Amino acid sequence: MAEEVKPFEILLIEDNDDHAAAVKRSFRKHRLENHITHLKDGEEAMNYLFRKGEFEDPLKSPRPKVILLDLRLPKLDGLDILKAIKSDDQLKHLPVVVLTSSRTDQDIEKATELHANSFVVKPVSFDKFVKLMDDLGYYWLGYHTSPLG
Amino acid sequence: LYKETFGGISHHVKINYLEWVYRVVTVPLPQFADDEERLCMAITQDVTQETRMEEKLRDTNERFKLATDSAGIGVWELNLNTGELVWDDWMFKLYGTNKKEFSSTYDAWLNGLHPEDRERAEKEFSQAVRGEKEFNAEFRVKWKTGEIRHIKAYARVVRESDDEVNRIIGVNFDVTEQKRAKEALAISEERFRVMLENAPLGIALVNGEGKPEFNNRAIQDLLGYSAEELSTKSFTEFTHPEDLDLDWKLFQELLDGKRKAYSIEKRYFHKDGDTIWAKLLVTILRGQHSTDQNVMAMVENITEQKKFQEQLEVSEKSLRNTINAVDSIIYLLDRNGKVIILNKSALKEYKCTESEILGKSIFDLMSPKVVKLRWNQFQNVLLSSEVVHFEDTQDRKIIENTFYPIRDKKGDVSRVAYYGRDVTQLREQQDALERMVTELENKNAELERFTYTVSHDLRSPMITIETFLGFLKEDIDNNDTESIEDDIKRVTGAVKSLKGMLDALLDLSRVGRFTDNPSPVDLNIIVGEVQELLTALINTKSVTLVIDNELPVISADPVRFRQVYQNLIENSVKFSREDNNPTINIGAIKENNQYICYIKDNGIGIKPEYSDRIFQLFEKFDPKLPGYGIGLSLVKRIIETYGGKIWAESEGENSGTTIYFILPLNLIDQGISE
Repeated sequence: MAEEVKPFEILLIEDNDDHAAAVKRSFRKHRLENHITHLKDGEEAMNYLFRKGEFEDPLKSPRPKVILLDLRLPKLDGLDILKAIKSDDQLKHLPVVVLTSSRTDQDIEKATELHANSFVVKPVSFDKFVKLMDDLGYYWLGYHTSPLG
Repeated sequence: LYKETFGGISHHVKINYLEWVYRVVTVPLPQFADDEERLCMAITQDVTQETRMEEKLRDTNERFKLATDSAGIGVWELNLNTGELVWDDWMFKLYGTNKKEFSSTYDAWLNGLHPEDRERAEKEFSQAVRGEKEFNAEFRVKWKTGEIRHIKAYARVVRESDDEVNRIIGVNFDVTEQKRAKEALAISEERFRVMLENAPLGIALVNGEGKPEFNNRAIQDLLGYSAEELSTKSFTEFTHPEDLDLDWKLFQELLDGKRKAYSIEKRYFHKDGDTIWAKLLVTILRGQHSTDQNVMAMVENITEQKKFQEQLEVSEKSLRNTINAVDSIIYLLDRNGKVIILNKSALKEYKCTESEILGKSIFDLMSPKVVKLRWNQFQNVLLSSEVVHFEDTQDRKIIENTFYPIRDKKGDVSRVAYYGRDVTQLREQQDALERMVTELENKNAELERFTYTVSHDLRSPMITIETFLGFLKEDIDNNDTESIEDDIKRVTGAVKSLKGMLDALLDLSRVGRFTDNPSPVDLNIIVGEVQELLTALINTKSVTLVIDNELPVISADPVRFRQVYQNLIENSVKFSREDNNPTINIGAIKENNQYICYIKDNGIGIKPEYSDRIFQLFEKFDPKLPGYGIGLSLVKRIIETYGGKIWAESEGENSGTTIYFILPLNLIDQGISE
């Protein structure tokens, strides 16, 4: 009788291993670490999102609820990925949160133009993330504390 | 005679005997008886003198008559006692009447006069009769026909005794023709006078002293003096001192008969002191009868003309100075291409003098390389009436040519002005400037990218440090030993990374400061040194290094080029594949004015879309490999500092990569000269 609860998948596109580790650790305490898919460069991210190469199988590339996107990535820029997402009919509804190292980053402007949904200044902590989700309209904490979880 | 006398007939005869004349009167005396013997009386009188007088008188009368008749002079005589007026035939003719109609009285004469002249004639006549004045009158007579004649009359009173005036004898003669001629002359003279007086040209009759005795209004206006003032002044008094000598000399020559006329341009002083420029024409006038000589001077005010001319000269001179001051070539041509005006630069260009070229076609002097185009463009201007700009090259000089159409009053192109400018230097400067601007723009973009990169990439390890120090505190509180170790490892790694990046940046910044003294660098030796340095790495990866051909010797900083080859070879080795006998080829191709050096490998290659990114700062192709992504940035910077260019070519993944860089030949040239 209960609806099947879809896991709350988070796609983290971040080349810096330390930063990715910090995010994971912050989420670990809330037992969410396993819902994070970490991709390390632009090329890999594109393959995941457009289901190419090793991510051709949709089971290996489930659609995330939210994308955390670092802009400075090897091979392909974060802005290029953002553009690709927002230009694709199937992907453009996915909320993209841009990770930036500075509040005054000129990339914020560029990302806004490309319809980024929100911004987070690194480091990304769980608290910041919750607040962000609230802002984006996800009552995911509610979901998390539901008796069905 | 005597027989007849005795026959009873008287005779009265003159007898000439020798030079004498005798009057002989023979009278028969009366007979008292028939038989009485007839007696005659003869009287002889010597009348020689008397006869001679008579003859003389008759002679005189004849002559007088002849004279008066032939001269058309009428003679009259008025008897004052009887009032009888006797006219000769000519008098009737003069008064247009005849003997029958004329009543032979004083009043009849008076009636014959023109009514307007009667009173005056009568008065003058009375005066003459009274002896106050001689009768010497002129009056008009009016004929019946209405014709009016002018008569001149003289009369003399004849006195029989001292106090008795008996007769007046006079003559009349017709002066109509003279009178008319005189009037005509007067009219003509007046006409001339008015004409002279009002002529727009200054006219004066100058006497031998140089005084303009007659002077007309134009000359009075010109000089500001009245006619009287002028007539008493010699022209020397109002002539400009600089022009005086010449004028005076010519004037004297005129008077001396050495010349008939002269014409000069000279300056006068106006009464108020102004200088007046005039054109003067002087001629000598000699009367037909008199020996008088008059000098006629004609003076035209040319001050305005002169001023205009001076202004024109000034403007022409300044124009000439202006065009001569320009080091561009300027000339003015007629429709046939013949030179009207040209400047010094043009003379220099065509190596000729002004007199050699004026009036000749400029196109005859042009170099065969440019003449055809320029002639065609010149024709274009004539056809289109529009300015034509074009460039051509002559003796390695780039010339910017402009033909300007110049229109006459009708709007037709009558002349064409040419302006030719050597723009070689300008073009070079423009090119240099453009290159500099491009370079600066590139530098600016690079700098922006650099700042961006630095701020992002340096911030990254700091975020790591900040985050994991936070975790570390937490882990210490929780006594989570395993995590503590991980935290410390990450913080240490980030610090190391930060330090490495800062060192690399410092290294990179040194490249830009181009203070190193260039010295000859043999790239063959450099490659050898690098090969030796990287022996261990090359051996580990089993890479074969091949030198395709000899590399150039350049003039540069050897340290920098060691960095170039070290980084490039190291990259090729690092990204070699294991399965295809990794090989690196090194060489240089000489092309035009530059050397193209290359380092070619058969390694993992790069996707074409990433070939530019690999040169960016902190751009790491593979995050797992050591290094900070600075090597290719450094190489690029070194090559560009030396005026070169660098790029990567790859057919794609696993097709190997070739890095090319250009070395400008000036690096090589300098190397050889040193």
